[in-house]
Amino acid sequence: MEAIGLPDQRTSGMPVAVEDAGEASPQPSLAELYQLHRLSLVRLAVLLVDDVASAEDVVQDAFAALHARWRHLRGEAAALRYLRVTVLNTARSALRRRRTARRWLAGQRAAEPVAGHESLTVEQRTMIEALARLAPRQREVLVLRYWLDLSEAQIAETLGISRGSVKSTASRALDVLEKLLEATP
Amino acid sequence: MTRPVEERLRAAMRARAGEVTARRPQAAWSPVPVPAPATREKRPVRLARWIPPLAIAAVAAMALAVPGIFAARHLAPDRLAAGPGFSGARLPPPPPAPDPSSDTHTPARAAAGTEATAMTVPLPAAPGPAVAPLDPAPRRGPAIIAFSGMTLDVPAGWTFQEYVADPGWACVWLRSPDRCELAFTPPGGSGYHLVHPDDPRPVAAQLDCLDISAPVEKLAATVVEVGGRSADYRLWRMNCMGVASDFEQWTISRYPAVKFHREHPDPETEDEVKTMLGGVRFAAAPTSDLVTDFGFILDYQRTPDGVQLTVDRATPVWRGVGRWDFENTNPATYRYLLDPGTAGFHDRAPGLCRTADFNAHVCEVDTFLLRLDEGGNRSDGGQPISTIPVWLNLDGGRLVSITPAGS
Repeated sequence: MEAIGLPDQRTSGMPVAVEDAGEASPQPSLAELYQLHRLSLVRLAVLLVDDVASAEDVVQDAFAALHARWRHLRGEAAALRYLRVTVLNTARSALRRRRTARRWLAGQRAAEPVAGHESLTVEQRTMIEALARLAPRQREVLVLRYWLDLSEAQIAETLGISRGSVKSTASRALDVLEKLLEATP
Repeated sequence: MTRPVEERLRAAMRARAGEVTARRPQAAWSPVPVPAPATREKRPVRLARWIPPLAIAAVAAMALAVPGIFAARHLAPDRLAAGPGFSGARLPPPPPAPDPSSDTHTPARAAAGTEATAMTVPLPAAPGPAVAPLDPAPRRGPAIIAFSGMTLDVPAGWTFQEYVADPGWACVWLRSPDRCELAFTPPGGSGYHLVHPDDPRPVAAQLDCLDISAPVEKLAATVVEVGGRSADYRLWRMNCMGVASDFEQWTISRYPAVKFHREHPDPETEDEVKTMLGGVRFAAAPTSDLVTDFGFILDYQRTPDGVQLTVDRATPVWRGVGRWDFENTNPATYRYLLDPGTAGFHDRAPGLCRTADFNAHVCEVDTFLLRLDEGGNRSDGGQPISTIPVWLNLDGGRLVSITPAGS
């Protein structure tokens, strides 16, 4: 054991130059991203589609898409942004496909009950069901705002719309949500 | 001004998302770093008719083959799965334990049988089975279960499960597989499972816990005995989406090493969990060989045994993925001999070999030593090596890879 004089940079305890700051963040491996973020992305997706299995499919698709673009994404923050947007888009497509399928199936057999929700209170279940009845864009804005806690600017960037649209969409979505909740016995 | 519906919405979303638990996926597709094409292929304006089916077939083949890589690596009983940040070297049978009180880690033995270099990227293209592997069947207690070089006494009513998607990772539950009461994380694994007592991952590394300003808080730190061995105990508090939760962690950081997590400290199961923990036994004899260390590489010297690096150990402080602070109050330095089989390191920003480059590349040992020689005047303009915090990954007391913190 020997003592050696330490440069200030090593004793300061200041954050090192590997901050997860936008494009400047280091690039983890795809496996690391998957292990770290899969669960959270499924949680995001399950708020956009209505069952866990579909949410898992959506996230698998997002990672498959990420793999194809892996060389072109710089840094973890960029990869996460890409995953998030892909989850949103894929969830929207999944719901669209499902609506088509349900229309085709209408009259052939009764709609299957939505899986999950076993551990929710009545109020929480009512809220989630009301959320599912919103227009896709309204639902996305609310999920990004109140689940991911993204700022208006971040939501605007994620959805490719203006900040003003984010604000008005969120406001209208909350109005609709309140009305739906009031109408629920 | 917050509307009442907003808080109710938040609460409902938390509850709904919370129904998706940390149960590990039955990997239909578990990405490992399959090298992507080096150059972007030109996409034709119109796809030929045969391309979509071919693409679908290729994706399906990948979905089948990639988990096979995990399985092939997992099923090799004497091999820890490699990943970024770990060499994947075969661990030799341990010799009689040296004096564990020694703080200077001059290696006492060679890594006999070491077959891998420290090149951690890309992963070797291991052949996979033709079908996606399934997790082993859950094993129910009472049973004495052997896995990853350990034995565990699982009591009646409890269930043990290993997960192929995350080699070596296992959990024991009482009521539901969605609520793992005690998790086992060996070194290596998915690459970020560095068995370091001050690394709160993987429990803390969840996306909903990352977009927050409040860091993971260390509530307690002490040394306890686990399975007759010395373990570093940590009690962490994380604050995710405004909800604080505590979890416990025990780390045995010397070979044979493992990290245990109790993610849901529940008074009802505490006694049984701690009895199980205390009853863990290791097949290999304990050694004083750390499997990972953290700090700054100050300099090196060439010795008859090879290159010896001098390391200023620091305590990592996790702030989220890719974000590390550190505390450095210990003035002692430690010496590690570079494993002769090590040709280079997995390098990323802030760059051990060349100036910050956010694409991973390999830092060859000779270039690395040159950068150390250059000190504060690196010819590539990078920051001095001695100011870059790094993870040191060790096998048999020898340094097999170096990874800049944040990678």
